[in-house]
Amino acid sequence: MALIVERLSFGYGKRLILEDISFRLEAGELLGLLGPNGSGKTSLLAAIGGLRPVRGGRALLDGADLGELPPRERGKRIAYLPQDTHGAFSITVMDLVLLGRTPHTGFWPGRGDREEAARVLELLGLEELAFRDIRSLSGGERQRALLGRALAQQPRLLLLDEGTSAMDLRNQLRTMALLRRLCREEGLMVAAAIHDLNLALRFCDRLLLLQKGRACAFGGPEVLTSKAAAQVYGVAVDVVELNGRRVVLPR
Amino acid sequence: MRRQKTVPVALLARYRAGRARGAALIAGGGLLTVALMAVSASLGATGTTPGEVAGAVWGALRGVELTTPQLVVLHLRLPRGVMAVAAGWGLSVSGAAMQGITRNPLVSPFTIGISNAAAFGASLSIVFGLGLLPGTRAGVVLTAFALALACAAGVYLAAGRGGMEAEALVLTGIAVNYLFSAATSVIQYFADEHRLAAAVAWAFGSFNGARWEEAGMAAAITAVCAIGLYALAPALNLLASGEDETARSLGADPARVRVLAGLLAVMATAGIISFTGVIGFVGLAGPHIARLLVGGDHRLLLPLAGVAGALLTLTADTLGRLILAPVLVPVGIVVSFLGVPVFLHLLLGGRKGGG
Repeated sequence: MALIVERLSFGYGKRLILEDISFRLEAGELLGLLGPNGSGKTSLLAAIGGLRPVRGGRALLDGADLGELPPRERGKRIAYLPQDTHGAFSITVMDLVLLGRTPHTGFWPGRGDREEAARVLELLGLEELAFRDIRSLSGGERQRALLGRALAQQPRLLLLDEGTSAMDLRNQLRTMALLRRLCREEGLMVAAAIHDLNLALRFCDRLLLLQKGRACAFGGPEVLTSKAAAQVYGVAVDVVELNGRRVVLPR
Repeated sequence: MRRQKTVPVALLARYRAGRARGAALIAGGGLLTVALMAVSASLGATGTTPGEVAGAVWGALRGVELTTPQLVVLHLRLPRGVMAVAAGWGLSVSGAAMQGITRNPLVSPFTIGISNAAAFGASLSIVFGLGLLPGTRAGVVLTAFALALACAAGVYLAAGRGGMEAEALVLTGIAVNYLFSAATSVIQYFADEHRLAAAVAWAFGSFNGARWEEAGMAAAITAVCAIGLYALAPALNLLASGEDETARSLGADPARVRVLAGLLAVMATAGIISFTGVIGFVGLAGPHIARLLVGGDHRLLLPLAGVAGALLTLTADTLGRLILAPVLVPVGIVVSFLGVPVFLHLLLGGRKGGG
């Protein structure tokens, strides 16, 4: 039961954005995708999920090629949280979360679907916002609502593109802690593009460092050294031990 | 997450209440439409009552001899009413579908150019006697329909090259709109007075002279397309919810939905405007009125948009028959005057109440 990414390549026209990305993620692991803007994190997440046609390679989730699955089957296995959370139309938070049940339901969601959506709302502390229009919410609240939709899908693999970036500190910590708990308890796999290196160090089991579309390093949190950070981000940092935790401090 | 056994009862109850309210609005609106058809059929130069309208229908079904007022109702007013309902319903539902697949609230069924293409076809037929069955009313209808479909096919082919993306559809459609509009203007520029008047009048959009054959066809096309679009409602929800990648992650196939829903919307729209001419506003405002009342879930939105559109055109046509009697003001003209204040009222009222 794993996510196996084999030599994944992606590009537009002549431009190659991702080159030969390979790694393996076990069930229950939380992967942090690190790299500067333009390094290909968004493309990698979309390519893994089979949401964009790739140029080469493939991603296997529990043995199934995500790029080859029929749409509905894909929707049952993966969930995706895009970077841009703005929508064109009004929708209530409850209806939004219920949308996540679409791959599992018939024409109308059944009672089980409604109850699952309601439970997800409770889990994410969204009950007060359940009947608010999503366009009237703050960026962080919107991200939580979209995470609700993703969790309502009951996916095997959750693909997050900056899924907590607009949240305040408390909600960031709560959300990442919740995701890690879901990974441990339910075998959920998460691949999250993260800008906050300390958040990544604190919650991720694995890190993948991307630079200009190539995988620089893959492994546990120990792969994020000051040398690696300098190489990938072009920023001088110290990676220190503080209260038993590794922390990144820009110089 | 799956360990939690308690169910948030209050939240679910409130949700169900909201859904029930939506269903009630649709049912109520449907009844109102039928009632309005009866009332509308009773008004006019040959005045009668809604009760007599029902009597006329019942009498015709039994095959008994009908009085003159009953014949007027049965052969002039009722087909007109049915045509009005079919047109309003079809245009509004098509507009809702187009807005969903392009993720754009400013889109109408005419965005991909088919109204101007149909007007061009009609002008070709009326002014130059070109196209199918020249010189006949049926010929005008068929030529308009053919041009509308050809236009849609062209736009879709062009958009399909770029991967059938929402933006490609809209932009190509806008360009094609200008093209056909210019082509129609050229024809009208060179037309003689009588044919010019006929071509321009066609474009106004009216139900004058609607007979049972035409009303029946328009109603059948609208019904088939509306049912087809309703079956796509869950897919439309997904497409409208975010970028194509998000829709795919939720199990949708955006290109396929765009083609299917677009095809149905084009068939319904072209099928209607080939008979009636161009009736604007309904395709854009009907979905928005429905959205303000019932939200964006297409399983509720599509039927309510249909009802809203039908009520709009039916009311507009009735007013158009009466306000300047015996002159019949075309519904295409009245519908904007009538609909815009209603729409603005709902829009501004919603804004004040909302967050």
